[in-house]
Amino acid sequence: MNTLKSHKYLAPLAVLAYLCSFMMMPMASAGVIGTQTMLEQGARQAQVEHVQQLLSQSTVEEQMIALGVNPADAKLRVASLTDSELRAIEGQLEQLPAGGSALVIIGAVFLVLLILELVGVTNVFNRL
Amino acid sequence: MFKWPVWIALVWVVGLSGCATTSPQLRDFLPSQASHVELVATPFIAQEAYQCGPASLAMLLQDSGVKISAAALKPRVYIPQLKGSLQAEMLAATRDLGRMPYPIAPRLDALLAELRLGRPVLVLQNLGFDFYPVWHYAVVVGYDAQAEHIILRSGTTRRKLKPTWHFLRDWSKSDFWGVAALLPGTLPADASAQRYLEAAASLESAGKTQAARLAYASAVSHWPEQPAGWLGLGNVQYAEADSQAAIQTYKRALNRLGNIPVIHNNLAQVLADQGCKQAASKHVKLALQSAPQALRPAILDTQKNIEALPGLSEPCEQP
Repeated sequence: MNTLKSHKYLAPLAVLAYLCSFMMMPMASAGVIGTQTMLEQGARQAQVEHVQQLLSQSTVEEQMIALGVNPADAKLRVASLTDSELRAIEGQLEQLPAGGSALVIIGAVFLVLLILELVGVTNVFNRL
Repeated sequence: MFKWPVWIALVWVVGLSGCATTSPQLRDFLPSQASHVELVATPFIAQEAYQCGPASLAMLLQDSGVKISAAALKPRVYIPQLKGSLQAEMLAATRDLGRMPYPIAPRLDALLAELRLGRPVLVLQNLGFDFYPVWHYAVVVGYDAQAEHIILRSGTTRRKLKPTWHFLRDWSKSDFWGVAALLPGTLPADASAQRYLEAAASLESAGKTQAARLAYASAVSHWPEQPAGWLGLGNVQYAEADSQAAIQTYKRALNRLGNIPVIHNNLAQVLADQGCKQAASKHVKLALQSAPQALRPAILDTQKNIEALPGLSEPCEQP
């Protein structure tokens, strides 16, 4: 009986070890906005960059609208971004840090508890 | 109640959340001398679900004298399906509301220095894990060295006390991203020419020429040895169609700093716009003499434009 009981703990600990192996892995840090290197560019390059900027603006605008931003707001919002900010955001909207809420942290702990519950270690969620 | 292996597991997991960042160098960020500072007057706006971005930004801006609500900022910085706000847009909205967003040096002492000047700092933290990030904006309003607490306006808590090591762990995950909202022309506490000029250039690049002009003007008087400040000031004056002021600025820079090819080039361009072909030619030649390879094509373009001007015209320039 006792041996059976101790075996019961092996599964959740294995799950945790697995989870922790992820935590140990350094994740590529999300791109932080680059510095302005505008100051010393030539006129011709500026023209090329202007065209690129317009393209980036419409791309980011579309991406914002796809993520639920009101189209009229999206237009104003991209117009306020600098070149380097646009470049940093373009195609990265869903990967960049988006400061949202402290509340979700409960989710991570919840997840661990739920796993423990499912493999039979705890009885925290009896009523689930 | 939990059985003991569960407690071990939980402690293990919670402890691990800090494993990436409890490295000894974090201690170096702690200020050596005891200090206490708290900006009690910074307003508090409780966030609605996922909207720490608009709420934090509204607190920061209100503190700097801008009348704006979190609700008004929501359509400006919130992205519904990301349930959050991007750093770039927090900066952009700050610029749009007439303030210069100044990303402070990524250090606790830089943050405290801003607080001591009476300015709260918007920070981005990761309250979760690297593999499961929970990005959260808050406003730092104080520091209690004795109790080793950082004091924040955060989420739905007016005065959140967070142990310094805990704050540093969460803040480090955003590479210590912190922003002060400066009145254009005001200097930040750390007064780094490089950071300040980058912030001014962002204003210029985003088309906030008036604010950029104020920022560059104070850069020029504070760091007259930095060519970028003069260049920026001249460029925004030119952008505001104040050619005479731009000419004066470029000339003062050349007098003070000697040969700076990019300034010679821009001066030549503005002079050419004024029809001053002779003076323009002189400066474009000086620009070419000392220009690095990367700048030459642009300067040769300027020269071509100048040569295309009608032949005559006055020198426009006192020797």
